[in-house]
Amino acid sequence: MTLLTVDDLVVEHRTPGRPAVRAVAGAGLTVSSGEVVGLVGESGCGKSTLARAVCGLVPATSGNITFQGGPVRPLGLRRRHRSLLGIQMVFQDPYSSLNPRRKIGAQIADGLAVAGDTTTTPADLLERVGLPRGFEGRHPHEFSGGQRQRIAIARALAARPALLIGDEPISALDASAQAKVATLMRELAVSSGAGLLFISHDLSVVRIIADRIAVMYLGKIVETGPTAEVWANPRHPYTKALLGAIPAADGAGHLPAELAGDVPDPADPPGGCRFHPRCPVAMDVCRAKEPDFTPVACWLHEPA
Amino acid sequence: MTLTISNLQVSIGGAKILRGVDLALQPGKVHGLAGESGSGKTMTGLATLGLLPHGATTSGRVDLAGRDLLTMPVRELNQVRGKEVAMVFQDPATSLHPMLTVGRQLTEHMRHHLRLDKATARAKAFELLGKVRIPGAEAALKRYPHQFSGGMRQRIAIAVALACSPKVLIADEPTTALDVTVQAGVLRLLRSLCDDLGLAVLLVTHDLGVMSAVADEVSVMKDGLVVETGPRERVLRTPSHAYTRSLLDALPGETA
Repeated sequence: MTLLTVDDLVVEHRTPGRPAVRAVAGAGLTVSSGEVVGLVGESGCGKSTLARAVCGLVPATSGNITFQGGPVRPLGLRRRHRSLLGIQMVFQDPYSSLNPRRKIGAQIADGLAVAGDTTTTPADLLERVGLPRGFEGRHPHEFSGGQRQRIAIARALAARPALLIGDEPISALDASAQAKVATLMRELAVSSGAGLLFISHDLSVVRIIADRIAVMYLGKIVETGPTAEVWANPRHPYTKALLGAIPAADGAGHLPAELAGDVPDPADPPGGCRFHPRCPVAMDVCRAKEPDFTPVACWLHEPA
Repeated sequence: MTLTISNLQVSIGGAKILRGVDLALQPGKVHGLAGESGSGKTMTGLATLGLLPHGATTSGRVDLAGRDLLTMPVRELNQVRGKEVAMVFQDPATSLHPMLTVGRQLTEHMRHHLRLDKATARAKAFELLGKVRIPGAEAALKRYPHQFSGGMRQRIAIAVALACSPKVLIADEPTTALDVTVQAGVLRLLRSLCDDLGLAVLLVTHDLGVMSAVADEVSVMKDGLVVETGPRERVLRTPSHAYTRSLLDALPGETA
């Protein structure tokens, strides 16, 4: 069952005196219940903005976001609408997403209150994320980065989300904790029947946990597909470059291929296909017209 | 041999962090240091420059051209740090000073260590930015770190480290905070600097892929000890230690 549909979403950041920056420029995406979707792309490509729009944290300029059949309305001055409490987010930095002055048990209890759950206790949730039950009386500063992120996950799960969003939830963590926390998020989301939208620039982790993968470039989704398929046979030149840049631990001493150039300024994206200035196989049509099809937005893969 | 670490032991508050580490860096070679976090790889890098946290006790020897960096007085060590041995850290967003221009950060220690006048230092800084492939060097010198992307910042941090032409570069997870596409560029840069300048590089990383791409020699650490050392190809293809094998087996789906 499709849980979340993002259709032709545009999000613009406006700063007075400067041209509007199109962080998300017509992106489409779906997440089903029990499914883990990995959203990958270089920093600055708009993946976090997309996640924030799905949560209602930033307003969409145009396009539709549908969650469980209803529209996602941006957060205003009032309480978040009840229908949106089923979307919970785990943020990038567990040092700033937890309140340093409150006990972690109390912060997890907030989530339980949202779900109206009176039988589960914060200690139960700590146990589920692999922390000792007795830690509920402690404050965030007593924990390491990996443990804090586990607490943030416990708090998000306490609200019984139908959709869990992880916005780079592992990038602030120590390298050895990254894979563990990512796998934990997957297990907990899938076992509770929730969908998980997992955003990361770390492709190797996304590969372990995602069922489907969506590759984003400069505000657009350029390729989607089952993870194993995309990995074995990337079709968009950008996906190829992204995967080709991962060095293999084969001992051969091959330096990974460098993708020429920088990500263009999203305030002034190139005309035609957004990737054409960096694309090794750009054709005339790429400079002239934007490829607007799925699952691979590339003129080489135009649907018949 | 440029830098030789022998039987390096470090304790912090009674806990033994390093239990006798031996490493030898050679000019023109990248020596990769792998291992899980907590295995002591970062501490090894910090110990060589006397950057350990307060209260740490050390024994053993870190030899740089006949001098022991561990027992060297701080005044003397300050002449070595940044001049003969330089360091690049994981996060370029925090290792550069946010309120100083790139030009100032590039020239400050050149003026101090090499006693260069302002104009010469500036000319050298310009040259360095070209070496690490920062476009528009003249303008870049006047800009602040936040005006650059993560990959560009790490290139600047490398330029800062190279400014006094050190013999040894210690790079602690230099690409961990970067996107893979940017990582590829920084790795290529490290490799070429090592080849062209004859720099001896200690590359601390948890990423065996990164290791495989640039390292000549590989050492694997576990619990404060080097458990395996050897040429890259041998260690990564036919690891002799069970721990190295377990690290390689932990890689997702790499069966090749």
